[in-house]
Amino acid sequence: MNPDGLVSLQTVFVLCLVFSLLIVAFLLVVVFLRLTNLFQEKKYIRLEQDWDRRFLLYLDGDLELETMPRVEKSELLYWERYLYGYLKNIRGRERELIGELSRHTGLTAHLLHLLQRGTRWEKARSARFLGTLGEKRAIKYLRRNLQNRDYVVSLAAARGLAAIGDWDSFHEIIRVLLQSYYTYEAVSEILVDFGEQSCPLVHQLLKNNVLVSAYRQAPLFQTGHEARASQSQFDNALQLRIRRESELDIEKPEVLCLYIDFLAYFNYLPADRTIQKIMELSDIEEVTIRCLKALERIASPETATSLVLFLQHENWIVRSQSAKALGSVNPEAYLDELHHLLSDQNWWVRFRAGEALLKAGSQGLERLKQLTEQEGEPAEMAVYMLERLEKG
Amino acid sequence: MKILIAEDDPQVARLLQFKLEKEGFAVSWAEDGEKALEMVLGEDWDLLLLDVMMPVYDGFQVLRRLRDQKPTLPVIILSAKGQEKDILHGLELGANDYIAKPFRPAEVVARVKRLKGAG
Repeated sequence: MNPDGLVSLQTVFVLCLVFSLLIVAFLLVVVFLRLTNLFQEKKYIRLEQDWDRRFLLYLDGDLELETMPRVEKSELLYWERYLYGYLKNIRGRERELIGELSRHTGLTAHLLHLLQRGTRWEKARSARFLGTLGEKRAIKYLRRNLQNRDYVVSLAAARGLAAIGDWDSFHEIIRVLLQSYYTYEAVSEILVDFGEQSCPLVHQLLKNNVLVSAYRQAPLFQTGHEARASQSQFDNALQLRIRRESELDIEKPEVLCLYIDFLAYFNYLPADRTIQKIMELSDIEEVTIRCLKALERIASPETATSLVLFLQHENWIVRSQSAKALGSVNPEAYLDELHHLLSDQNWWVRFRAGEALLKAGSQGLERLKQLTEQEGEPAEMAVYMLERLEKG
Repeated sequence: MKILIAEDDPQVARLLQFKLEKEGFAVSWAEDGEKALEMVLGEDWDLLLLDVMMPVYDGFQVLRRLRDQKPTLPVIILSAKGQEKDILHGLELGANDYIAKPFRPAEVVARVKRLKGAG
């Protein structure tokens, strides 16, 4: 600064120069990265053309594995990208052939190495490929990577283990994912990767939750023998909680909803009564709504008696969802209740009740026709529903 | 016998084209929904293999639009959307068959042959 306290011209000049140099350096880095990317893409296209004919002949059984050349180490990640394009889309014998080819060309060994010593992205790519391939030798490295603090590595390892179907890691994966930064959507993706076979495990988690919730409510009303039974039930529940729930966050409504959604996604019928019980015990509306949606999807007639209880709920979303669920489950048995709901103050509730009546066969249709001769909102909804039916 | 593959993944398209050409079919490829619709309406085809998730128009949109003009063209949907509701939606729109990805290439060929009575 000069004696007047102003920044000198020289300082301004230096600052501008430094700033300009930083911008130029940044642009150079961008150009370099872009050129590298273009070069890599061009190289990949050339390699892909080289590989394609021979690979397709091999996949069709026209070329023996022994005739397939090994791939240069510098080209292995291109090779991984190429094979993964096929691997993710096909299954059966052809997938096994890709596995044999991957081993023959040294790719599997290379990816197993990268799983241990690669960068975060190399570990993630290796986990993806070896997981899809179902490579059992990758399991121990994937389990280690699951504990990695880097979410890219950890999540890729979880997906790899799920794709391989490593059931011994199931609870650990859920525990790690729920205690990390992941969204519940990421956890549900992993569950879907494990597939329908994980439904019994998730169902067990929900059943444990019911035990805990039931105890909390039961002692207020029970005495003597019932209370002792309840105490024994609680002991079981407590042990289960210590072992699992405390780590798996089962009591968090979001997690509970996640499991309910998952079981509904696979229409897992054995969970119908458990979900029904959770719905009856829960005082969280979001959980109630998820249960109703799940029961609508699972469509078990056993649960209809509970669904009816929610037709009079104070929350209109719960009322409308329970009417919708009842429409899928057993509307013929609850014509009066659905009829009554056509007078609800909320349009959506009336709409869902009308839809449920339409699903109730000839009796439901008769109710709607009778209503059209009257006046008011129930009649308007009945006319609307019959018009919809006519339009198909 | 002419088959059109509407598929945005070039590797899947190449694999199917290779397999079907080996079986003696004449195969062409469209890489997005718009091009597929243009090709399918512009020429005569014996069968359409249709992916669902494609750029411009998805497979369901293509199917909906082509059914007015080509109601009898056999269509097999080949899609990663393998949930029951997706399958039902595809069949309701007029698809003759539905194969979920990941698929067995030999199974696709077998279904194509069955649909065309060439097996």
